[in-house]
Parts: sequence; C-alpha cells; structure tokens
Amino acid sequence: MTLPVLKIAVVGHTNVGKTSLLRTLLRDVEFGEVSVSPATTRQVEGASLLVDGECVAELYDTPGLEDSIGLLEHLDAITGERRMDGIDLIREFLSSDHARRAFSQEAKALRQVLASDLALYVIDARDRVSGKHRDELEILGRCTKPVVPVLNFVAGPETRTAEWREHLARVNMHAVVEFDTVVLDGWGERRLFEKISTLLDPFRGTLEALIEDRARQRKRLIRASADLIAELLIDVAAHVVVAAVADETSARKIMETLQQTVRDREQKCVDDLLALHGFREKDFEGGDFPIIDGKWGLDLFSPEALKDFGIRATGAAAAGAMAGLAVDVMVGGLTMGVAAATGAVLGALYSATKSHGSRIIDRVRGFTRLRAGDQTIRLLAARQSALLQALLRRGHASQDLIGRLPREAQEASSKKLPEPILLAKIHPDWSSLSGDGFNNQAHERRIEAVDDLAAGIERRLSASQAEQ
Amino acid sequence: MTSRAGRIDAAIKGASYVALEDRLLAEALRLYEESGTIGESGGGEEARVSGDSGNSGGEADRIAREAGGDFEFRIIVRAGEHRHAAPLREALSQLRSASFMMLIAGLILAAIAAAATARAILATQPGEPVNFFWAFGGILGVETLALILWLLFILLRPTTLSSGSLGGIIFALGRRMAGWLHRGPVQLVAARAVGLVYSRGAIGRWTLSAISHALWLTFLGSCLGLLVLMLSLREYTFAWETTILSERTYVPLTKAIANVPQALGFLVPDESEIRASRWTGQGPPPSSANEAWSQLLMGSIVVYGMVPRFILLVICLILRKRACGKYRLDTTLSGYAKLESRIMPRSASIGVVDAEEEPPREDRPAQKISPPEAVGDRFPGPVAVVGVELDREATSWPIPIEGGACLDLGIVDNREERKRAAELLGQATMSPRLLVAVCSLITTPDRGVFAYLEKLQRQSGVPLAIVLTDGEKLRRRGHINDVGQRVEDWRKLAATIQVSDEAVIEVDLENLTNHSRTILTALTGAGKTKAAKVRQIERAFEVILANVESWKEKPSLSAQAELHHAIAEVYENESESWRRLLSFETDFAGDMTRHLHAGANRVLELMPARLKSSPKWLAIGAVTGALGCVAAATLISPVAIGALPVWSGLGAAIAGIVQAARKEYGQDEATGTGEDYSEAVCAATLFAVLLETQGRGEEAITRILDVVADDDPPEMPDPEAVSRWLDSVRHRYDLALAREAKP
Repeated sequence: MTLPVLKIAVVGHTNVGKTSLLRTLLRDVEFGEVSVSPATTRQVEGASLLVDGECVAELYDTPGLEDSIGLLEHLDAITGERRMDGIDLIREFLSSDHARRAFSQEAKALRQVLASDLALYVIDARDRVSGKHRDELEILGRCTKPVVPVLNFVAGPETRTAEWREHLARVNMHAVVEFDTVVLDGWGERRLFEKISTLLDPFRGTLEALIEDRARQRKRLIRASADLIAELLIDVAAHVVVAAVADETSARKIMETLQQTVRDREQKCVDDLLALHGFREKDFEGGDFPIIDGKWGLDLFSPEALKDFGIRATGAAAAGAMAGLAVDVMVGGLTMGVAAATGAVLGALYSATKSHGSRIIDRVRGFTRLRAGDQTIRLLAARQSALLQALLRRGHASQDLIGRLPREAQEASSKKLPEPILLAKIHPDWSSLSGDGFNNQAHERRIEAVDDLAAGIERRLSASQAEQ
Repeated sequence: MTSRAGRIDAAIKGASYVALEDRLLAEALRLYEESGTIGESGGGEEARVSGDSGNSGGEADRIAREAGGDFEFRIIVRAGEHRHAAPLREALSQLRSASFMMLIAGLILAAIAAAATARAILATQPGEPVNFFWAFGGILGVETLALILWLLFILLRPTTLSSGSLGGIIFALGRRMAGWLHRGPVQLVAARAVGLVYSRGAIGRWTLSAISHALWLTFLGSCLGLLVLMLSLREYTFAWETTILSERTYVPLTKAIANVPQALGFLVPDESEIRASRWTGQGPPPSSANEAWSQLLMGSIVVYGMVPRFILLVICLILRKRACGKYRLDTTLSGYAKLESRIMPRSASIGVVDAEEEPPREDRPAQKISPPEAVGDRFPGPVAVVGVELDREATSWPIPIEGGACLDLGIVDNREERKRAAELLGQATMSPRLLVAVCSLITTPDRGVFAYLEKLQRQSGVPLAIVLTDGEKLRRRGHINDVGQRVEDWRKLAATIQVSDEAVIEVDLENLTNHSRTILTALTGAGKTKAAKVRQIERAFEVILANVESWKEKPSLSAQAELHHAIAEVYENESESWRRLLSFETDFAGDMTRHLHAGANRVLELMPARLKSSPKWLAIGAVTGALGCVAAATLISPVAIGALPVWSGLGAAIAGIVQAARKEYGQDEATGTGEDYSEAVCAATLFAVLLETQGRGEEAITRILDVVADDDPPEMPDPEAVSRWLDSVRHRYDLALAREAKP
C-alpha cells in the first residue's frame, strides 16, 4: 500500500530556527545554511523524509516572514471595502506585482504554505508575543491550512512558553509542540509527528510509519553505539603486554607503548561514535568538556581524569606516570586474573588455568605482564557512556559545541567490573590490540562477551534515560 | 507508486540474487574499515590497496544510495563498488582456494588412512582367517561413533559445532595456510570475515558438517575400493571367533547385520554357513562361505557407512545452501550502522523549489549621509525618539535623552502604534533635528522594521539614528559572541536605507555607563557633556556664517556686537558659567569703559603668549572681550544693541584698550586693519571658542586657543573664505580636544 506523501511548509519569522528544525528532523547537519544572522534562507528549499528509502514526507524551508505588519496592511488595502475570503485574498496577493517585489520573501513562504498540507510555524520561545507575530499568525490563518506552532529554544532559560500558549489559544491554535532543535530528547520529534497526525487524519499511516522508523533507528543507533563501547572495553581489558622485569628502561618503554595503544584505541572509539551519530569532529571542541578537537582533553592516564568521573583512584593508580596500569606480578600464584576467574565463572576456569600456565612460563623467563588497570577500564566505560549520552541528546541543528557532561553521567562506581570484562581479562587472545589478530574477532566466546557487555551498556543507558 | 514498485523490485533482487560471496565481501570490508588505524601493518600495503582501480568510499556510497533497496542490499552494493573490493575479493578467493586445497589434502589423507586401515584389517598371519567382526568394527566402528557424536551435537547443542570437528580443523588449517601464504591486512580481514560467516550460525554448522561427511565418505569409499581390489586379487578366509559368547549371539547378530545388504542384493551367509564359519583358533579356517562373507563386509560398508554419510552429506549441502540463501548481514553492527546515514539517508534533498529571483537589496553603495554629529545642531528642533518592538515591561521608556527637548513617539509594536508614531512625527510643531529609533538587540533585524523606519524617515525628512539596546540580555541568552554579529546585522540592514554605520550605535540603556551616556549624547546632540558642546560650537559657527552672509561691507562695531550677542545666545543655558569665567558684568552701571576694559583684559589673559605677541590677535582679543561684555549684558536685559548709549565712545574706548594692551605686551607698531571680514570673524570665533571651552581649567583653555588660532588669519573677502577658515578652525579645535582628552 502506498502511503500518501505529506507536504509540510516550515514558516516563521526570520531567524527563529526554521532551517535548524529541518536539520534536526532530517538528521542532516548539512541542510541549508544556518547562522545567527537574519534572512539566511532566502529561497524555498525542500527535502524529503525517507522511510526505507521511500519518501513519506516533504519538508520545505521558507524565507522568514519579515514584514508581516506591512504585508497585512497591504492585504487589508487589497481587500478595501470588499468582502473576501482569506484564501482568495492571499491568492490575489500572490498573483499581484507586489508579491514579486516588496513582499517577495513573504510571497515565497505563503506560496509554499498553499502548496503544502500543513504549516509548521516556528517560534523562538524566548521572544515576546509582539505585533509582528500576531500579524504573521493572522496571515497564516488566512491560508486555510492547518498550522502547528512549534516552540523552539524551550530548553534554555527565559522562555515565554506560557505567554505563547495563551496567545496561540486565542487564535485557536491548540496543537502546540515544544521542540528544541538543539537539544533532542527523542520524544519531542515523536510528539511533533503525533500532533500533526491529530490534525491530518489522512496522513495518520504515514506519520505512524515515520514515528516507528525513527524509533527503530534510534534503537539501532543505541545498540550500535553500545557495541562500539563494548568492543573498546573488551579490547582494552584483554590486552596484555609482556615486559622483561630485569630491564627497567625497556619496561617503562613498554608501559608507555601500552598506554599509547589504549589511548589510540579510545580515540578510535570516539571517532567511530561521532561518525555513527553523524557528527563532525569539529562539532566537538572547546568548552570545558573534556573533548577537544575530537580528542579527550584530559589524558586517560592522569589522576585528574579519574577524579573528573568520580572514580576513586586508589594508591598506586593515582601515583603518577604508571597510573592506570596494573602489573600482573605473580604473588603466590594468585594473580588478579586467576582470582577473577575463580570468583567469576566456573566455565572460564579452563581458559584461566591455560593463561595462568603461560604466565608461569613468562615468570620463569623473567617477564612481567602488563595490562590496563581496572580504574582505567572504568574510566573508559564512564567516558564513553557519557559521550554517548551527550550524543543522543544532541540535535543536529546544534551549533554550540558539546558542553559539560551531565552530572549523573559522571558517577562511575568502583563496583565490580561486569562479567564479560572479567572474562576478557583472562583471554589475552580476545584483544584486537595484541597478537596477529587472526582469530581474535572471530572468536565465538569473545563475540558473546561483546554482545553481553553491549546489552548491559544499553540497559544502563536506557535506565538513566528513563530517569531523566 | 513507481518508486515503491522499484523498491520492492530491488528488495526482491536484494534477497535472492545476492550471492553469499557478496555478503562475505561486505563483511570483510566492514572489518577492514573497522580495523582502520588500529593494527594496520605496513602503510605500503595500504597504499597498494588504495592505488587499485575502483571507486573511492564516497563514490561507492553514492552508487549504493542510488541503488535503492533495503539497507543490507545497499551495504552489499557499496562493498562491491568500493575501491577495496578488488583486493578483498582477491584475498577471499585466495582463502577459498587455500581452503579448497586443504579440503583436497584432507580427502587424500582420508583416502590414505582408509587404505592403511583396509590393509591392516586384511593383513593376517598366513593360515589365519580374517575375523569378520573385527574387520567390520575396524572399518565402521570409529566412523559410527563419530556419526553418533555428530548427531548428538547437532541435535542437542548445534551452536557449539564449530571448532574441534574434523571440518573445523580443515577449515582452520585452510585459513592458517592462506595466512601463511599471503600476509597483509587485507588477507587478515578476509580470514576474519570468513571465520565470522563460516564458523557461526547455520552456515558454519552445515559447512563443517558437510566437510566431515565428505571426509568420512572418502574414507569409506577408499576403504571399499581397496577391499574390492584386495579381495579380487587375493584369497581371504572369513571367520568369527569368540571366547565368552556363543553361536546364539553371533548367528542372530550376523543375520541382523545381513538383513539390509541382503535386501539390496548382496550375497550374505545363511545360518548354516554362519555356524560353519566359527573358527576356534586351531586348524584350517572354514572356507565354505568366503564370498558371502566378503560381500556382507562390502555391503555393510556401503549400507551402514557410505549410504548414511552420503545422505547426510547431501542433506548438509542442501541445508548449507539454504542457510547461505537465508544469511543476512547483521546490520545492527556498528560498522554497518554508521553507514546508514550515508547510503540509506533518512532524508533526501529536493533542492531549491522557489529560488531567490533577484538580489534582495540593490547593491548601490550606501550613500553616506553625514553622521548626526555633524547634522545634529543644524536643526534646532527636538530629538524624536521611537522605540521599535521594545518590551514594554522590561524597558524604561522613554529613554533618557539629556538636555534638549525630546519628542516621544512611543513604543511601536503593531500597525496602529506605527501609524500613531508617524502622525506624531508629522504633526510636530518644530521639525525634529534627529529621529532616534531604539531597537532591541534581542530581536533580529528584519525588513519589516526597516521598511517602516525608511517610511518614517522619508515622510519626515529627519535624519535617522539607531540605538541598539539590550546587548546584555542577548549575552545572557548565551550568545556571547553573537552580539557583535547582531550589531553588524542591524548595520547591514541600516545601510540598505542609507543609514551609515556611525549612526547605528550600541548602548545598553538599562545599564548606562558614563561612556555610553557620552556616546548617546554625542548622537542626539544634546546635554552638557563635552561631546554635546561640539554641537554648540557648530551652531555658533553657523551663526557666524549666517551673519557674514548678511554683511555687505566691513561690519560696524554695532553689527559685530549683534553677532557676539547671537553667539552668546547659543550658550545662553550656560551663561552663568561663562560670564564668571570671562568676568563679564551683567549691567553697565557706573563707568562703562572700565567694564569693557576689564572684559578685554580678561580675554587677553586667557590668550596664549604666542597670540599676545601678534598685534592682530591682540586687537582681536580686545574686541572680543569688549563685545563679549556687551553681549553678556544685553543677554540679561534685552535692549536693541544699536540703541545702546555706549556706542558714542565705544570705538575710541576699544582703540584705547588695544593701545594699552599693545603697550603692555611690548608692541608699538600699529597695523592697519584690513577691509575684509577677517577681524570681525576672528573675534566672533574666538568668542565662540571661549564660550565653548568654558568649564575647563584656564590653562586648558589657553592650550586649546594655542592650537585653534593660526598665527596670521587669512584674508576673508567673502563668505566662502569665512566658511573655509571656520572649517580649518573646527578641525584644529577637534585636534585640540583630542589632545586634551589624552591623559
């Protein structure tokens, strides 16, 4: 069955964020041109919303209604003493010479409204309801198309939402939507589509398909993101470097290499997350958010980084250069790995003893095994989850750089590490960072561990989102 | 309609016409892209790969986007078109051939093992018969055990059937071998991809099972072949032996085994032959039914070994084929998910449907009108103030315009208010000298506002200035860097209605500082600040010029006094202050000459030494002082100057004053006064400058005069010359003020 294609004109005063709204709805940071200056959009530009590659809705960005007071005056002059329906008046105006000259921008917008099924009237909720707005609404009211007012910039302080709602109710517009183009909470868009569908029954199916598709897409996105983070954690947790105990300089060198490897791996995860969410690296810089130029400002191995995420750094970990690295030295045959193995999973015992065995051999040969410490893994997890949360809440119209992390994202407990990570710690061959990587990623158990971990991350994420 | 049909078409195409190889390629490409910067061994390898012909990532994305179909299909199309596709395909085919070679090797090994088994079974001591059940178990026992194990796994734990099985070993060896033969990141990811696809899920299960069955089938076939060969060429005797069991066990057992082969036409021993074939370990073996026994052995291999293995092989191959057909990429994997926006966009551009037809503004250069600093005082009227779309609750209205009269046009927010303001402006009794539009920086400038302002300006003919307020509020909204941009936007639009940048100022009216107050006053040309006085001196100069224009000849003292009076009027508001400075008396009681003397001396005192040494300036200073005195007096009690009783002796009195001054400052030569306006203009200008600078310290006034007065004022035969000179004075006065302003 073919769904009817819904045509929507996005109108409003100049510089209220019409193009931004489109960008966010389209998930396209490149659409149109956005700036703080007025009249950035001077033409009608369209884009279609696709579900599985099929167009279900067309959105049209229009130039701002800049001179509504003048236009309404002009319209009244056209009417004169005649009795005219609003729509006839608008049509007469559009065919007149004025529509090409003084009011060409307004005419473009109105023409598009007439050609659409519905108009989204974008409002900067921080603005006062002023005469020009009243006249804009008056003119739109004469176009005989349903209008859904969209209150933009509702997330900031100083919004006049109540004032706007009151005025909109006066002009019989009750289906108002609050939709911040900069902060996307996942529900705003849904509410917008639902509101539209209450006004346009013939398009109910179309809008439902759209809502469903967007929900699916978001779910997939979260899943894929969780996957990326889980891969990172497994890779780092499983990564082990063998260093000669006797030679201190070479040991230090190896430690540095290990740190760098882990840093690079984290960076890759950041890059992948950004790419996955369709953001550009330059969207992330400045501010006191720890990401600068797409890189974390605070080094992974600095004690401050731990503190920043509320992870208690214990003793050696906070001590300095070696922070974040655990040294698996054999102590009475019970290393962390083995302890974890006995404590964690019975089924892992075999592998544990296997790796235990090679550790003994290493020890005999005078080697020490180095790995990223638990705190580092916790920090990695906390940082990436925080980043993911920030990404999920970010509309594509956002021109600001990613700001400070939400506080709740920063608490990273020193609770027990999740089971898949404990497993990874006793499976050095799981890490894509070490060895020739031939079998690593294809490893059945590793894949299971990544899946498990990703599911866990997803659960925590949705839990924290539900809290908000 | 067509697009949907096309989509379904493509989807069908996607589902059934995509070979597993293409999916494998997509998987390999995903792994390759994921490996990205990590673990990339050898940049040279990478360079070689990228150097290959094929499409770049972006191009492949585009082709995939245009291919349509579902997400998976697009991923596959993209992989096929990607520039890495060729090397990856090559690596995959290398891997395939390596695996195939390994399979062949395995089959050969199986055949050899079978030959060895067959030989071992038939290799008996001379004179000893072949133990039938030993041979039977030797060939079919292990195989059957393996079959049972396989069945158990496939029925109970199908997912674990990957490594450990015969197929798994062959498979792992194949990948290893490919790795040994061709090393490189491409080969690595190809191996990983094959591992992911072939060792997981249904495909892996049935592939590995099929390999196992094939190996066993080969083993059994080869066994059978060798048995046939050996049984054909040599004579063997078959028998059975037992120590603890009896015929009662063996006869039914043999019969049971023989049932199926017999049904298939194999010759089998009957009961008596079975009984007869028992061998006790001594004596010659019974040789009654050797052919039947050997046929039973071969039949059993076929029936119990090869046929089930063959059937299972076929089943596994069918299931594998089905699994291959059903196999779909896991598009939720992050490596694929991130492609979604590129190859399966949520949106598509329709493009511009209603283009901008003409440049919205004519690009005529904004004709610079003189800034209000210059024009302000030419007009005597009030400053008209209009608030454009200001928030009534948040603004204290009207804005504080210091000094001067103010015509409040109110805040305009709608059509009615706009009309009323325009009417107020039109009805003003005294035409305003300046129209100040106060706008909020919070609001974005728009054509509507400027269309209105232009209309106001056009209708009234009053120069327009724009005051932008609320910068602080805009900053509070979090757009710290946007304030400058916003001011720029206002200026840009202002330029379209010929309002120059200087006439657009940013002043936060809610938080007025001294500085902003100065700027504001400078703009409106009112108030008591220095900036405001600049306007007054302009007016004084206007007065001078106007007077000069009315002169027909060298002005009389009386005409000069009129001029001084007019200048004094400009500074009437501050007359207290300048009268005190110049010690002018307000009445002419007593000896008038004494008053004039005092005034002249006072002015000469304020003049710098340089001027005092110039006879011309000395005279001018004296005249200025004397006439200033007259002007001050007549300002208070307005009398017709011409009717003043003092004029009779005034000329002489002034001449006397000049003489005295000359003597005092060591000059004796008397210079004749010219026939032009020079002296009168200089005197009037000096007076204006003195009145203008009052309020400053005396030293400061002297310093300013030093800069302003030129050594030898030029001849001024006509108003043009006067105007030129006044311009130069104005310039020097500005210079002097600038010097004063420096700390």
